[in-house]
Amino acid sequence: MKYLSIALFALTITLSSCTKKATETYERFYFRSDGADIAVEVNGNMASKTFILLLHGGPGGGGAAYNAGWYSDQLEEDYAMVYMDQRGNGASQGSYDKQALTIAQNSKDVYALAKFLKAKYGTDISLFLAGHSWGGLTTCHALVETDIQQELKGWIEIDGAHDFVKNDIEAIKLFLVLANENITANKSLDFWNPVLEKVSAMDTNNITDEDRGYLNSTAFSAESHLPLLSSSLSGTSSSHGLLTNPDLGLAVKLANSFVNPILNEDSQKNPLTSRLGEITIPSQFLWGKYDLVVPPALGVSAYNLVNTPFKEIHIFDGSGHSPMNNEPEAFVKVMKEFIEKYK
Amino acid sequence: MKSIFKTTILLILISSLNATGQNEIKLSELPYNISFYGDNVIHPGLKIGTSYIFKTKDKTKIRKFKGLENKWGSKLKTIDFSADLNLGFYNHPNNHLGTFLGIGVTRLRTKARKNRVLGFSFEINYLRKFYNLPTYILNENNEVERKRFSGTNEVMFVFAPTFGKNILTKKEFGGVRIFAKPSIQLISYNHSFLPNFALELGCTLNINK
Repeated sequence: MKYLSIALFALTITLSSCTKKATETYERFYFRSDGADIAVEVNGNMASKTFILLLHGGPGGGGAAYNAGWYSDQLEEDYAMVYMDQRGNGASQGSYDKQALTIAQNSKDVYALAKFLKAKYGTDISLFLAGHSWGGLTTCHALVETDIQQELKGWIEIDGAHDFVKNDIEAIKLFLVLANENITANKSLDFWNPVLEKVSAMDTNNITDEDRGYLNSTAFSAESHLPLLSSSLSGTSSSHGLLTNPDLGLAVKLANSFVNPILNEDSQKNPLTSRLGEITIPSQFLWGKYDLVVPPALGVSAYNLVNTPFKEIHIFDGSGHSPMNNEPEAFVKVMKEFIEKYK
Repeated sequence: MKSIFKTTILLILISSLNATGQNEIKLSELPYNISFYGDNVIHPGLKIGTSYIFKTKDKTKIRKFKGLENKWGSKLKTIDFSADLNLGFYNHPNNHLGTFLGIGVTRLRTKARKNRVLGFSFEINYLRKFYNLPTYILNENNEVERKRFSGTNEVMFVFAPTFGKNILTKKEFGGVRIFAKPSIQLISYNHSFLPNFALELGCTLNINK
């Protein structure tokens, strides 16, 4: 009897950790695309018929991390947010070859998902495509390599890395400017002096993998030495607990770190600045002024090159790589204005 | 190629079940293993199984101190080698339900006086992941179609150190062993394998029969 009790106890624990149920404002599912099972979370006002397909950063990130914070609550009030885990990232699974781990395949997945969303929620929905950081590259690739523009009302790029090559060069330039400014102003000298020394020695014609690694990791640590705004607004829609987080498996984490170098290498081979002129849908560029990960020069360049009169750029003066967290009120305001204008 | 490999693993598992029958093992004498199975520790599940001890070695060693030798007698260690058959599942909410079937080999050393058990196991399992979310496709007619019982098939290799203690050994029903097994795993993932970790906390019933 004792042992039966132990078994029942174990079963109870297992069954109590349930998968979150679908509601009128929440749905989570897998979408199968060319061998990959893409994890998708739709959260928010689906009745609005306006959907924002948001792609996470990385490689190695996940959509669930973006479904948190004040900005996502606000957007979900008015629109349905679609958080997609790109193949090999987040909670996405499936069975496919190494050859299918490419930016080109990821953008095909995005296009397939866009068509799927229209088939599932109605062809009359207004669909916007948004990408943050590395997700900006995938969105841009999908726009120029697939027919997804026909399905969309607009593109929103948030500190998006649509050109890794240009990104490295602009990061070095911005590091030099900010390091010199801070040293002159006698601020955080212990941090900025070695940064200036290291970055000054980099050759912009021959940026090595080691340089890239340094630039990327230092860009994140530099944010604590810059005048960034810190929002006191907190979100209420952190959608998963410790036990129910879809990404929390060790295998999932390791899978992400395993695909990261493969996708990073492919991202390096796909600079898209020269193809931005092929984008003809309304476009919005949202950037943090102090983003050393993906400098605002990329946003300015994209704004100038997209082939549409319906475009706007907003540089947030108190933000780094994630303006939606540094200045969520201003971020949500301009994003909603853009969506309302073109939906 | 990958599916052939997986099918081979399945055939080995099934044939091992048949082999157990052919060796005239009395099923009623086999112990039951039952344990809480935590994938990444926190995703709960259950693992059940049985073991067949195919080789036992006893080692006796005279203690260095005569006083202790007189008090407790010689050191006695029993080393058991067993073949194991396991079945289990775990639930990773919002991701998948994992079910596995596998065979393994275990070496367990038991110290007679304190009944402490130390050992390790090697296992090979067929792991079937059932997504516990709906899976959709867009079919050729651009219609949404739901795929039932979708998931992935994996092979899971396991190395698991075992720490345990035999308790209730003088009872008529044969005794109980409680154990903890940190399970270090290698799971197939697309074109490669990924490490993983699970924790088993459980007991073996009827260890002396």
